[in-house]
Amino acid sequence: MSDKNREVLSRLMDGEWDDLDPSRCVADACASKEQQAVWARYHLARDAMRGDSVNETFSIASAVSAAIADEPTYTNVTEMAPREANSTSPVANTHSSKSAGKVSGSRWGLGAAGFGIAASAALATVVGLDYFRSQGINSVPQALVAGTSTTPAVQNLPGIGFQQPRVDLVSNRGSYWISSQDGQRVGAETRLNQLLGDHIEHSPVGDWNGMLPYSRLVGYDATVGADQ
Amino acid sequence: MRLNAKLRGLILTAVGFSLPLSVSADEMDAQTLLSTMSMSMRSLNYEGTFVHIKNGHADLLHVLHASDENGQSERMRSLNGEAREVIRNNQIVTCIWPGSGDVIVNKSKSLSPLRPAKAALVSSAHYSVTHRGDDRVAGIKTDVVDVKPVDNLRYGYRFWVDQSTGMMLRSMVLDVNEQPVEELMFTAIEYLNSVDPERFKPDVDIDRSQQVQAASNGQDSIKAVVDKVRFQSLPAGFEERSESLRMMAVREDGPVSHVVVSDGISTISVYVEYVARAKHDPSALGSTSMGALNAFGLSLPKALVTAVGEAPRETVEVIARAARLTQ
Repeated sequence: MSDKNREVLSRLMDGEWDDLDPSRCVADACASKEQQAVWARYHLARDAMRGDSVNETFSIASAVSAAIADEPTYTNVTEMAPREANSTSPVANTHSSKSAGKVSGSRWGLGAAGFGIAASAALATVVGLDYFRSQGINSVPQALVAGTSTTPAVQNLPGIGFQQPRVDLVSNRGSYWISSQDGQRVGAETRLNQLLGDHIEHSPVGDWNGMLPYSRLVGYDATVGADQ
Repeated sequence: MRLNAKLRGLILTAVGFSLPLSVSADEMDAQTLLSTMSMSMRSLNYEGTFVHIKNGHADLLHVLHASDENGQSERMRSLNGEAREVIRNNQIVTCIWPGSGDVIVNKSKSLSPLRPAKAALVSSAHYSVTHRGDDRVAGIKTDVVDVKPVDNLRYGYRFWVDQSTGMMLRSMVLDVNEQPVEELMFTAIEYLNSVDPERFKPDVDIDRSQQVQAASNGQDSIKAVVDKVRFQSLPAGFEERSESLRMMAVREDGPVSHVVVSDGISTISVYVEYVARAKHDPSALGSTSMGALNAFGLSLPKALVTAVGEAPRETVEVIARAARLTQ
């Protein structure tokens, strides 16, 4: 879809159709499944960010709505009156986007470019939230289970209640041979890497993948092995 | 599909008439793409950065590749953690771990940059090859090709092929549920007219490194045709492709048999070290894995058998257990 079509759809979304032919625009949109999809996505993101009910027929609709509703928003603006009587949380400056949207008014005040950025940000938030939540405390990556650290890859931060990714130094993690029985690193890594190097060099797999199979050897982290 | 016309013509000529007559036009397109990819990765000069994901761990690597009338030169280096490195030319492969000072030197295969693409790759009865559609990788338009296995004895593959050059920009190894078990993806790539040979020289002084394992020293003693290992039965589609007996760094006190078993795409190496069971290292036995790679070690009374390859764990184990010594 062309940028011009996207701009037209955005302007229609924003009610900025003074110099547009609405009938023509609607006809064009109805004739194009791609434009319909974009139109639906724009509405979905707008509804979700405004806190309106979203069309559940879209598979990502509930995810967008739920994620944004649950996402804490931080502000340094002190509210004149508590939104709720029991709003004595230590994170009083945290409130939901849903209520924020209602307070700020229902009018969509962004232009076409602004809307695009906002929609992208909303979707990026969803992707990020879903990723962190889907990992869960118990679904630690295999490399971490087998490595030196037993710290979960996702952890709660006190007072915020939202799971944040644990930041780790890349040199603390590695890729290595692990036992299929117990998921632990095996003690014959050097030997296996020698066999792997020979396998790559002397078998047909290297013929059609070029050098890229060697990335397995380059990716092997000897420094982690030294810690075991 | 918008392949470079000259390149496509070259590939079609190289592949020739090896394709079976039953192949559909779409499948032929997809197979041609794979052949193009194979040749492009050898014949192009390129430099780029790619991500390698396996075991839930992502590595960022830099690759430099050059090809001329003398053959190929390649250099790959890890950009995170220790600056691990592999440098390869027509003579040797050098693996460098600068942190520990380990350097492993192996004799490399002599690769002609313009040899025909492997017919086996495009004519296997155990995979279906389809053109999945278009996509973008690193800002470059690509064709996506699926190589799907007909059973669960082997992995599937998905390739993203640069529409202009035929270079592979992204690849996935897929399990039986079509979930990626390993992935490579370029984040940036530049095609070069030429590459200064100096760029392929190691930064470290190999002669002064702590360990130099010249595994190639004994390779002159290779017996090209041997029959010390046979297989009682192999998984459907797999067959023995070659067997050699040579000295290897993994076993300094005697030659090791290396048998290559393949179905045309998936390849498993079976190594047989002729050493009595009492001397077998227990840690070398059983199943191990690294990304899509699986290995299985099996102790026989007079030999240690290790199968290594890019295939599901069960397949690698079955192949290792099928090995029999002929003498």
